[in-house]
Amino acid sequence: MDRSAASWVRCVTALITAALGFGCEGAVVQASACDGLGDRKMGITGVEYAPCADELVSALDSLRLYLSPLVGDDSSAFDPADRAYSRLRSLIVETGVIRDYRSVTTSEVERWPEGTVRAFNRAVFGASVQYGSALGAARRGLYEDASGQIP
Amino acid sequence: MRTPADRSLSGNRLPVFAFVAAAALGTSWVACRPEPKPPTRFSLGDPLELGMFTLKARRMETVASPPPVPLGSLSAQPGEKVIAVFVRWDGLDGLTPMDRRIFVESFLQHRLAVVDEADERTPAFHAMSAGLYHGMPGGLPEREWVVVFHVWVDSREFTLLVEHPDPDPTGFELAAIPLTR
Repeated sequence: MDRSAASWVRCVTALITAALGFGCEGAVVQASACDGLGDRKMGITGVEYAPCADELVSALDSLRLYLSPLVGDDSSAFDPADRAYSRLRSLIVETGVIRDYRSVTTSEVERWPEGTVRAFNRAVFGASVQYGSALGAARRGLYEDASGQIP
Repeated sequence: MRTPADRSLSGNRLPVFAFVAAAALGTSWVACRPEPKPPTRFSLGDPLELGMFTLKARRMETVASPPPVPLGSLSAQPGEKVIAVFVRWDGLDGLTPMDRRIFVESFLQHRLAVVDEADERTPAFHAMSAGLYHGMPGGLPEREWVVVFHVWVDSREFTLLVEHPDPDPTGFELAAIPLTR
């Protein structure tokens, strides 16, 4: 096979691989009540948000469960803690609140008209940042002391 | 038999192919983008269904100079005049009064604009309750609001544009309401 043909084969193979990758991506992503909320631009009420909010609180609780052993120097909790953190972040991304906080074109107030819901979102986002920091600190060995005391 | 020159040429095909593919993708993206729907025409007083609430544009007036109420947003700058569009919203019953007020103010300031006879588009400058506009905070129904636009002093024949943030396939994306009958 000459170089020209080989390069075409490589190119077609790469395209097919990419297409398969995109096609199969949805199969491994866990479905959630938060799916699609990020596409909404107005009027997400607390009532319709409740199932997603439940999942967010569960994800926070789950992550907290694994962070405690990490503080106590149980490194076996790293993998489940990483998975729990990824799950939490993917749920938060699905809600679209990170885009709300960064964007100048979308309105947080229009998307989440209830002040209590906006406060909840900010609390969840803040907790996720703090848990993420704790996870990162644990990974850097700041919790090597098995006493569980936070340095 | 292929010469080294031929090989060199075929070896250079991959970047060319990548460039052509990128150009084709870019062209098809531009060409296949859905055309924005033309504005849907409404009249003053027609209710605009906006999901969780409805909005009616009621009338327009030019704000006197100096304004009757000492509000900065009502004062025209040189070369400008200020027009006020009176609207009424309904719905939002599930929200607290404070949430309603914050929501309505945000919506009216972000989603409304006027165009004049020269197609010059001006976004809303400010939105306030009708009570505040008339110098009687809390003195008029909560649902009556005023949206203020600062427009070129010689402009006229205004049309109000209202953007639907989450349009459904059968509804409007952009409502156009002529403000002068």
